[in-house]
Amino acid sequence: MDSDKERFPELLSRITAAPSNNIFVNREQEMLSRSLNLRRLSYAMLAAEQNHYLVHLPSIQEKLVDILRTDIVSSRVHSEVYLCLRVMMCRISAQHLTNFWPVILSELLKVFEGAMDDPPADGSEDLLLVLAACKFLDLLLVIQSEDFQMCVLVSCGADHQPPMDVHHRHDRRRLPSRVPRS
Amino acid sequence: MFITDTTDAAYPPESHEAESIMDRLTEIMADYATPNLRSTPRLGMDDSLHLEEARSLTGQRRPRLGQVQKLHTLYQLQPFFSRASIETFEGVYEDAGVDWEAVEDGLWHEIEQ
Repeated sequence: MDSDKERFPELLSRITAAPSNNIFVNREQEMLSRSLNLRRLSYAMLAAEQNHYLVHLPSIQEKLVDILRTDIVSSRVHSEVYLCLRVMMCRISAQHLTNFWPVILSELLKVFEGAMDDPPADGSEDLLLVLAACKFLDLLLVIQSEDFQMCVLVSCGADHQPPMDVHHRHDRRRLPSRVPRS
Repeated sequence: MFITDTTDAAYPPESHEAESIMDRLTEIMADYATPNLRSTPRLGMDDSLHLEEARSLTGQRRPRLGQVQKLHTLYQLQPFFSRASIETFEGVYEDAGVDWEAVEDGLWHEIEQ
């Protein structure tokens, strides 16, 4: 995207949670179009270098959270948001995302809890959303940045803990009984 | 760090204020992993998801679902959930870091679909 300085903000402006006011717009088409724009956003960020779009980060975050919190948006669109979040974890330095995690995690929880209460039908878009959420969780667990962990602690109102040396982290974990201790 | 110290005061089940989000996620993972989830149908061999090894040959952590693009039933995710918390802890103990190449491959593969 050589002219990305102009194109990116334009792409961003097309991403919105609000449904169209135009009563002639076909809702399914609209969701498809939203999904596509989110996919373009993900692609643009993945193709760029680290932190290339940092200046747009607040706007990107706001839009993504907006979409996740809007029920009227389809599961397919939500899935694209989770893909976008995975790209962000790879292309934006962890320290810039610290304040982002609490709200994202609470939305993630809703997906899993919803799927437990009301399991999505085989082959449904809801099922693909669960997969998208799992892939996001999968990556979170792989990356495990310290900022992410600290913000989860802080956001849950736990007593402030001093930053832990990475190598001693395991001492504070509650271990599932099957994990062998070294 | 993810998980509140369980020797702290017991939290009543309905109180979410002090409960770690990751604690709740871990519980959910365990629930999803149990074989009796909502009278689970038996999965045939070809229903299994192709899960990646959680670690590369050099011990680096990688996403298990990296090559998974399709899902046709929720129960295919049971192995992912049942292994997720164990492997996460094991990966962290070794702290060989992240296999970024595997992460990137998976993302590109998916985005270019």
